[in-house]
Amino acid sequence: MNLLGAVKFPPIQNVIEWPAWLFEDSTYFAFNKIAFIHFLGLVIPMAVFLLGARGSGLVPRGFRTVSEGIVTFVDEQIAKPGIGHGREPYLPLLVSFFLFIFIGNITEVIPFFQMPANARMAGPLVLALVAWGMFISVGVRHNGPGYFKEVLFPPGVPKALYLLVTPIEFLSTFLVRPFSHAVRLFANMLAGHILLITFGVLCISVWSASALVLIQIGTFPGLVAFTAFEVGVSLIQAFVFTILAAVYIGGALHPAH
Amino acid sequence: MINLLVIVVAAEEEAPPNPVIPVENEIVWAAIFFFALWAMMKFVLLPPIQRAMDERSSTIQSGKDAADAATSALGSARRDHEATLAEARAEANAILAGARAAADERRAALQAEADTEIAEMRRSAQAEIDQARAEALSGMRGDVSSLAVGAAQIVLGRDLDAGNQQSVIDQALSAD
Repeated sequence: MNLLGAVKFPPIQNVIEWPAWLFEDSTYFAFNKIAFIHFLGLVIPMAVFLLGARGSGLVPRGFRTVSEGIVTFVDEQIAKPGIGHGREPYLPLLVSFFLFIFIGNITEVIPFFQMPANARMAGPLVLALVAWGMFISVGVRHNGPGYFKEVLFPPGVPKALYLLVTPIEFLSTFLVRPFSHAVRLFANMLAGHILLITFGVLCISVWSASALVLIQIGTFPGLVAFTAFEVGVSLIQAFVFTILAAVYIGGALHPAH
Repeated sequence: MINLLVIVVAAEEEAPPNPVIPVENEIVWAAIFFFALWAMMKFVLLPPIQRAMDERSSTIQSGKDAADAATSALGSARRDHEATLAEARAEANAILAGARAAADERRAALQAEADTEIAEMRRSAQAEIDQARAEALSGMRGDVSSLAVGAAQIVLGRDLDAGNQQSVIDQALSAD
């Protein structure tokens, strides 16, 4: 336990090290709580969409409303502004990003889980690398090798400035982008998780220290408020990651824009 | 030196793991489940939902088109109806005008006939009046001659020939 003032904080290992539920620890297939949350990120959308596909009739109901709402939201609010014309082939990827990330985030406030899978670097890194590979492949497929020229030597820039601009573009677009994309999600979720832990620990510690129980009046509402805040953060981070992926793909699809 | 190494190794062993470094097993599972979701979404999950949405859009669009066509047909029918109504109204006005003209003609004919009949009756009555007057005048002339001759005989004290005096009496009556 780490001591901060009179409050005992759990060690950071409790957030980072998750014991395996299946297979051996320290193996590539060690299946722990984080892997289980990612599994839910596959199973829950499947269930919702399969149940939604069973519905019929002109007016959608139940799971069909949910699944159509998700598809419409991703298409209208993410794919259309991010990619624009020719976005249809990328809709499955964007819907998958959004749902996989949202489920990996929202477990932060669900009892028993109380841990966002995306507060671990692995998930966001995989997703960011997929987005990175996708936008580069889209750029090359639609523009040929000239895509790299478009990105590294943006038109309209004075030639002398290419000495400065080209290395910056290379670093920012092809090297840093996947990591900034991943870290943005990971860091937000880890920070939110640590915030909730802090308020949770404060509540427990203050409750057990009878002299400080009056402070509970401030800490418990803080815990409730930040829990509600983290629900919003879960949604916003899923949205931000997905729309950034859409913008990257859109930029590769129409580099002249 | 060995002690220092031991301390460094111990410190490394005790140092908490870096949360930024991804763990292999989590990468593996995240990749497996995400690629599975992406494939399912692309080939199984999304197509029926999109198909249903497209079908609904096309149903709504065709309904809207049908409503537009019905509205257009209604407008056309209303225009036809108004044209037919105007035609009927014009026809009715024409019939009415014709009937009115025929009635006027008939009235004029009847009036002319009545006028002719009245004129005939008036002429006949006038003739009867003239005849009665002539008859009355003739009768009155005889009486007046007799009275005048009688009065003259009384005044003169002698008999007068009525035949001879008749022309004088006629002259006197004609002078009136």
